[in-house]
Amino acid sequence: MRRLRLWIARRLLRDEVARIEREIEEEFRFHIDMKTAALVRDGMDPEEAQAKARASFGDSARFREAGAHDLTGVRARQRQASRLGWLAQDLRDGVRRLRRRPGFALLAAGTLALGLTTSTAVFTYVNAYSRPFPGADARDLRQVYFSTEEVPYGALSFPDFEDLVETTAGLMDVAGVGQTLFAASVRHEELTEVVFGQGVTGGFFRWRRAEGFPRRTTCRTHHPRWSSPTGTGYSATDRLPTLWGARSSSTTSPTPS
Amino acid sequence: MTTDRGDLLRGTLEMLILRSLEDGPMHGYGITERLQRVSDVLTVDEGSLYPALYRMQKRGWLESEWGRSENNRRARFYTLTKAGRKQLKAATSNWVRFSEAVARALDA
Repeated sequence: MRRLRLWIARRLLRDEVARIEREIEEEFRFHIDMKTAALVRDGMDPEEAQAKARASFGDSARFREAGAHDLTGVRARQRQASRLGWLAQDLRDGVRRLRRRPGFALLAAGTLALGLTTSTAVFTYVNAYSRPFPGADARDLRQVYFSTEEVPYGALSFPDFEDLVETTAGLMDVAGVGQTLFAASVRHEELTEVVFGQGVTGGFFRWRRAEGFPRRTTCRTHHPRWSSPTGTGYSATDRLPTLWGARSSSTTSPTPS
Repeated sequence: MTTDRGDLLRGTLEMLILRSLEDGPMHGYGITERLQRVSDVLTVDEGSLYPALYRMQKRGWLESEWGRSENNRRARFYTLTKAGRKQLKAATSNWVRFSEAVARALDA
């Protein structure tokens, strides 16, 4: 492949040099013809005039060769300058058009800005959901239900929760999330703001920090009413809602033991 | 000594070419005609003119493009570049200083 490229490059260079030599030859011919005509006008015999004009060039082949050598580099530089010239011309045209139609320029800039903003927002949203849960390792998280034949995934009462904390002490960290949303009004000087909240136990916030949280724990069942899901955890998009308990029954597939 | 003389002549020819093109684009034959017209003493050898033109193009002092001559023939026209104008200014200044110094030395 390299040899092929080299061969093509040599071939192109040879063609270029041949073309430049033809141009030099044409230039010399023009000069000789002009000089011959001038000498003839001055009264010299045409053949003698042509011979004299040719002689004035001396070794034209040597000049042609040297000229081709010089002009090959010049031609390469001109091509590069021409490409840069086109780029500069395009930029100038662009600026001129924008000045002529500022409305169009604003529309184009606005569209571009809107597109960039939308892309950034979508990326930020998706990226936030795809990040690991900030706190406990999501693979070690389990959801615990009060399970009966009629209601397989029921909520726990607070005494049951306390029992669970007691029986699993030292083995796992347990936190509870209340199912009932409440509203509170918060007064900021002259403004009253309504704030919605959900009750959680103190252990819930330890999950968020993850420090000291046991990554590998086994939930052992000591009470016939407790069930321990052994599913594969939660998908990336389910982490936050599951943690808050708002959609727990629809986002997990626990296996009651 | 021969080298010094050659360099001087070459520099002089280049300066004269640059000065000729200051008035506008010209083909090689036009440059020789002009130099002969403005000075009976100066004659430019074609064997030196074209190598000088190509060399000056290589240095970026001149640009060339094909056009039509006064008798409607295809000819290569040379134009002075910005670098060429700068070079002409410097060469002229050096030449004036040099010739004045030589004249003072001869008068002394």
